Amino acid sequence: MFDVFLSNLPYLLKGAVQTIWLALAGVGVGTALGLFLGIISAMSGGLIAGSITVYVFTVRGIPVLVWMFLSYYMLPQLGVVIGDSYAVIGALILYTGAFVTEIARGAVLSIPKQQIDAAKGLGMQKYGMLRLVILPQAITMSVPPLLNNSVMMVKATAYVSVVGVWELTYAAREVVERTLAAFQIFLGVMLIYFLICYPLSIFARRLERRYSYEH
Amino acid sequence: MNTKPDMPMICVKDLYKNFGDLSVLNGMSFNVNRGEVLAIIGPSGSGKSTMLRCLNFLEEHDGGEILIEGEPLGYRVLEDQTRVRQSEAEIARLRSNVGMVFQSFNLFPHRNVRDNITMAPISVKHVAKNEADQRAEMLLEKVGLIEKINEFPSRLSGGQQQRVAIARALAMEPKVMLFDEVTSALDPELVGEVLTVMQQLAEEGMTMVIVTHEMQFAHDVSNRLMFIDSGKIIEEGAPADILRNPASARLQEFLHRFRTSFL
Amino acid sequence: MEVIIDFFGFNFIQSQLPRFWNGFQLTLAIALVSMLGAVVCGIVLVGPRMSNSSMVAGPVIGYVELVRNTPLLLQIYLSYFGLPLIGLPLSAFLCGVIAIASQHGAFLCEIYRAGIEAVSKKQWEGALALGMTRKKAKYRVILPQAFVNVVPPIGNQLVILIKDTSLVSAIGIIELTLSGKMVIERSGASFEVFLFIAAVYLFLTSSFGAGLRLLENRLRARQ
Repeated sequence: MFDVFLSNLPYLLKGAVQTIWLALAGVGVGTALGLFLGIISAMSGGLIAGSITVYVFTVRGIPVLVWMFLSYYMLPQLGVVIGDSYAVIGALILYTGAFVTEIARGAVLSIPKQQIDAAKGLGMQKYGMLRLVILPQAITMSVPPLLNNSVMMVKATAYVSVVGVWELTYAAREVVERTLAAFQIFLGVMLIYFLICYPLSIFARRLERRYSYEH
Repeated sequence: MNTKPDMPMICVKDLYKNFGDLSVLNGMSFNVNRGEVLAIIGPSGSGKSTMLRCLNFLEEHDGGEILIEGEPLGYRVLEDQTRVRQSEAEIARLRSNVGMVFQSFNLFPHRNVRDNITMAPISVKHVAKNEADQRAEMLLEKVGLIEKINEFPSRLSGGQQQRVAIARALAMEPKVMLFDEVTSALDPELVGEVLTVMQQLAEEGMTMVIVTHEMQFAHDVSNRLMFIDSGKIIEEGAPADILRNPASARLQEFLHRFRTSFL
Repeated sequence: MEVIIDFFGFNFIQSQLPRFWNGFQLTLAIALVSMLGAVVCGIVLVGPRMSNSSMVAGPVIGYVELVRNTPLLLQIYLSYFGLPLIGLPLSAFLCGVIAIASQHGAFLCEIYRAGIEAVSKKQWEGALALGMTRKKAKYRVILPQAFVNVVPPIGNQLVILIKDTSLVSAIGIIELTLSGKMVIERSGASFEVFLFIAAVYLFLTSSFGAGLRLLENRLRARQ
C-alpha cells in the first residue's frame, strides 16, 4: 500500500536532511539573535527597547512566506549574491529572532523583583545579578517555549519550497508530480515531519511541568 | 576591615522619601550604635519597611542623608547642598556591609542551599570557593540546617528557608543586619525557630535593626525600641519603658490592639 | 504597456493596484471563511477531547498532535491533490480553507480546553454547592469565565491564521502573496512590490490585533 512512498524514501530522506539543515541554521542563529535582543530589551529602556519592539512587531505581523519572497527577490537586486537557500535562511533567522526576542524578554521581566532585591542586598552589581540570578532562571523558564518555537520554525522550513528552494516538501511535490500518488507521499512526508517535531513537543511539555519554580 | 569605633554604625539624618504624591518618610533622624539591637514597630503603612529598605538603598531616599560608619550611602551631599548619586560599584560595596533578610525569604530557587550562601561571597568578595564552602557549612551549623546543604529552596519549609536566608546574609560578614518582618510570612509554629536564630545573633553582639510585629520578641531582644507612624518617629527608648508606659495616644492605641502585657 | 519605475517603485505599484486589490479581497475572504471554520472545528473537537473515555478522547488527541506537528503547507497539498483522488474535486479555494481551518481548529481546541481547565475546580464546587445542576453550572458559571480567559489566545491564533493564508499561493490561488509574485515575474519589477505586500499584511494583522485588544478591554471591564 505504501510501495510508492517506500521506493522514493531514500530521495525523500535526502530532502529531510536538507530540511533539518535549514532548521538548524535558521533556528540556531535566530534563537541566539532573539535571546540577545530579548535580554537587551528587558534590561534597557528608551530608544533601544523601542527599536527592538518595532522589529518584533514588524516581523511578526507579516507572513514568513512574504519575508522569504522579499529576501529572495531583494538580496540579489541589492547586489548580495548568495544562494537561494541562504536567502531564505535569512528570513527564517529574522522570524525566529522576533519570536525568541519576545520569549526571552518576557522571561527576564517575569523574574520577581524580590530576587533582584535579594541580589542587590548581597552587594551584587548589574552584571553579576544578570549572570548569577536573572539569566539562569530566565533561560530555564524559556526552554519549553523555545522548543515550541523551534517546532513552529521546523514547520516553516517547508514554506521555502514555495520560493523554489529544494528540501523535503519540494522533494515530495516532485515525487507526486512523477507518480501521482498524492495520498501516500504527502501522508508519508507528514509522518517524517511528525517524527522530527513530535519529540521536541513532548520534551517541551515535560520540561514545562518540571521547571515551574514557585517563587 | 577597618573599624571606626567612635562612629555610630548607622546614622540617619532627616530622611525623606516619597512615592509619587505620597510622602512615606517625613524627616527621620536616629543612630544605631555598634552592637545595638534596634527594634522598629508601627502600624502597616507607617513607613517602617520603607525606612529599613532605605538603609540598604533598595529604596532611594529623596532627602536627608544615611551614613554607614560615617560614609554616606547612595548620595554624596556636596557643600552647595547638591546631591550626587554614587556609582553602582560604590553602592554595591556599601551594601555588602549591610546584610538584609526579607519577609518573603527571596532565596534563589535555581540554586541549592550551599550555592545560595556562597554565591555572593565568591562573586562579590572573591572569596575562594573552598573557603566560602567552609563558611557556609559553619553558618548552616549555626542555624541548625547543615543536613539541608544540598537541598533546593523549594524543598524547605518557610522557617527553614528563612534561616537559610539569614545564613546567606551572614556569609557576607556584614557589620549590621536588617530584618524586614521576617516572620510575617511564616506559619505560627515556624516563627520560633527563626526568632531563636535572631536572638542568638543578638547575644553574639551583632548590630541589628529589626522591623517586626512580634511585640514580645521586640521587648525581649532589643536594646532600644522605636515606634513610628506616618513616617515619623513617635517614641523611642528602652523597650520595657515604652511598651509598659506608652506616652503617646497613638502608641497606646497601637499596643491595645495587641492586648499584650509587658511585665 | 508603458511602465514607469521611479526610485521607490511607487508609480509602478500604483499602476498595479487593481491586481493587488483583487488579491487582497481574496486573502480577506479566505481568512474570514477559514476563521469561521476553525472556530467551529475547535468547538466540535473540544467536547470529545475532554471526554473521560480514552476511546473518545484518543482519536482527537491523535488528530491534534498530528496536525500540530506537521507543516500546514503539506496539509494544503494533501487536500488539494488528495481530495480529488477520493472523488471530491473541490475548488482550490475550498481545499485551502479546509486545510487552514482544520489546522487552526486543532490549535483552537487546545486553547478552549486550557481555558475551561483554568476555571478552577472551586468554581465547579461553588456552583454545585449552590444547588445548580451540572448543566446549569457548566453554562452559567464555567463557560462564561472560560470565554473571557480564551479571548486573547484565540485572537493570537487568528492573527497567525491570517498570515497562514499566504500559503494557499502554493496551490495557485492568486491572493495577495501570489499576486505580488506574479507582478514581479511578469513585468520584471523589483522587490519593492514585496515591501508593499508586506506592508499590507502588517496593516491587516495589526488592525485585527488592535480590534482584539479593544474587545478584551471591553470584556474585562464588564467583569
